[in-house]
Amino acid sequence: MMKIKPGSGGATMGGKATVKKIFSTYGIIVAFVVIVVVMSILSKHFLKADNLMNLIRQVSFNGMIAIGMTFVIMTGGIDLSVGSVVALAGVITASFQTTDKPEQLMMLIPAILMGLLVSAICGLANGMLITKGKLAPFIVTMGMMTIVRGIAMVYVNGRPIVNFTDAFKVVGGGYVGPIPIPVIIFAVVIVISILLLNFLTFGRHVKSVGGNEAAAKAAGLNVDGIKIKVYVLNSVLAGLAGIALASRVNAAQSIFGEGYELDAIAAAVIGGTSMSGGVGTIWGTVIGTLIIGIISNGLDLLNVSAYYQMIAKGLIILVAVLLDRKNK
Amino acid sequence: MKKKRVLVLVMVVVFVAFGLAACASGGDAAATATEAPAADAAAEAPAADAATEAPAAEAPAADAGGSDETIVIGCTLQDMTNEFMVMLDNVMQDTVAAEFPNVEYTCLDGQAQPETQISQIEGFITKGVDAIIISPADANALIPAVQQAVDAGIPVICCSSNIEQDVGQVWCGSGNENGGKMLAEYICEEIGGKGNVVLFRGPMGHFAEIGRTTGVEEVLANYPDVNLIYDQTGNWSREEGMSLMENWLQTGEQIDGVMAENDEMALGALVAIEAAGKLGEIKVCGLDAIKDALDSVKAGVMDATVFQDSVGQAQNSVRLAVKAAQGEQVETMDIPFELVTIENVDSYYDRIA
Repeated sequence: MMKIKPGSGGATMGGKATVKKIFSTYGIIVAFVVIVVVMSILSKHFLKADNLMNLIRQVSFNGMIAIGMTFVIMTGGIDLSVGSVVALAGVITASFQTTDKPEQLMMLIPAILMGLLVSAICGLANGMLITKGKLAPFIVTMGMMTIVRGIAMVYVNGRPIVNFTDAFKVVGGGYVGPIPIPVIIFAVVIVISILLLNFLTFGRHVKSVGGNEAAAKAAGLNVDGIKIKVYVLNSVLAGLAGIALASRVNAAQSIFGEGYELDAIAAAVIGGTSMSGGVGTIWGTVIGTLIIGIISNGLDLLNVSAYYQMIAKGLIILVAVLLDRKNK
Repeated sequence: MKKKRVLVLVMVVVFVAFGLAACASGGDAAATATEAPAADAAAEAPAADAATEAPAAEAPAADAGGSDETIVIGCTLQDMTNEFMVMLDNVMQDTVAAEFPNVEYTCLDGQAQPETQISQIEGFITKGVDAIIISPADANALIPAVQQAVDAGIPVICCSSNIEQDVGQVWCGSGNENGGKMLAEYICEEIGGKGNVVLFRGPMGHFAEIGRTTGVEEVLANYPDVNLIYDQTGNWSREEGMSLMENWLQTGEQIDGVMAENDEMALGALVAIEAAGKLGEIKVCGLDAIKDALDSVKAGVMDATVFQDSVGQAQNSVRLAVKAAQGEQVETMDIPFELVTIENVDSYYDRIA
């Protein structure tokens, strides 16, 4: 695996926190290694380069959302609306990139920006209702989940959008050399998020808000502003995943992304993000995303009956989190 | 205060935007929205409509009445926000208008709630309609209500989907088993009765998944040289169909045929097959004949799909209901599925909703 420096954002953290972080680091890595080893013993296809690239592309969509979710959970919040944002951003961008509607064709970049803009508005609405409206994030984003899904359905009248322009097909289906473009987008998102969280003041603020909101307020931080930014960031990342996903499957549908919020939350939590806020890392979430992807990919390769897959997935998620706990 | 005002403002903007979007979406949604309450009102206030009331009161006594008398048919459909249901309703209305000038047809929205449909059926019984057409929202929950109607001497036609138990209703639909059989039969024949196939199922336990899988399994039993090497659920979803197929292709096992219990999963599998450069080597068949699938068949990408004649289901439900209301003995009607390939695909565009 990659080299990891636990507590690389440690300038702001006390010694104790760093020690704790190292332990939680090992917990999740142990789980990850165990799962990889088991899968490669069970299936000779698992470690093939082709399959690994395939696997990383499959997880890159959930990965982008999970990274956004990590920021949100770190502020002590939650965002259930991301799955719906995936669908809405997908259908919005796709609607400007389909040859079925030549009258509203756009250049690729503006079309993508439209999708991201609408996603940002969803995030803004979440953030405003949570901070200015003083409502619980769970309730607000649950409401938004339904509203945004409904808007996506209305926008396309329930029908899928197909026949994309060649430019748009590349976003999810193209390659740079041997590397699929969604993987590159995912990598860029990882790098930027690590910068944001560990090297810029924004990350420090996110951690303080989640760690102790009252103290953050007393220290003069604009808590509401930080939270709103986090929800906007999360929605934009979900939108980006939705746009790439639509391109990848050659269709944009208002039903896309149902249940994605749960996979994203699971990835963040497996990766060591604390549901009570303040603690979390980007690389942890990336490993969490990989674990979820490997379970699914590996069980498909092994042709485990679909009935048992559901049980296995749940169990492995629980075991991974338990391992993490034991090591804390 | 200020915060509250901002909140109110945000809410207003959201609702106005939503309202505008709903209006802009135009005809379909608006029509459904206005139609449903109108139909509801008609059913709940029968006294307001003398024409409805008079024959209805006599109906139970004069079951086998003359054919020139007005026949009242009450219909309750699963959920009028579902396009398929709206289509059934439209076809039934058209059939009544074209073939049965003496039939009065009322359609209620079951709002996807079995309880709602139960009380609607009870309403129909009280009103004394001559026949009931129902597309049940739940195959089990509606058994007692249908039983009640049958016991009251009112013929019940189950349109498209049936209830789980035979309590004297007449079903007019297309058995999922037959759809599954047609799907499997096509793939087995196309690969020459020999080779490896994979199956994408619907959500585990969904009635259509159970029926279609049963049909597939029955056919596979007749082809000893066809091996079902992978068999998973793709949950009706294009994304899941794609990742499943990607993973299966990774194993390097020879796959000759793909059977997908709906078109979405077949289309997803095709994305993966195309990316692996195996288009044309693997036979792919879906089920449902949605427009996307027809396009794909027409373009020579998907090999086939299976068409469910829902127009035929709705038309014949009305015909059966009228016959039964006139006292004739009617029997379950299985509307056959039809195989759509590149040869006949053009004729199906007009037949899908």
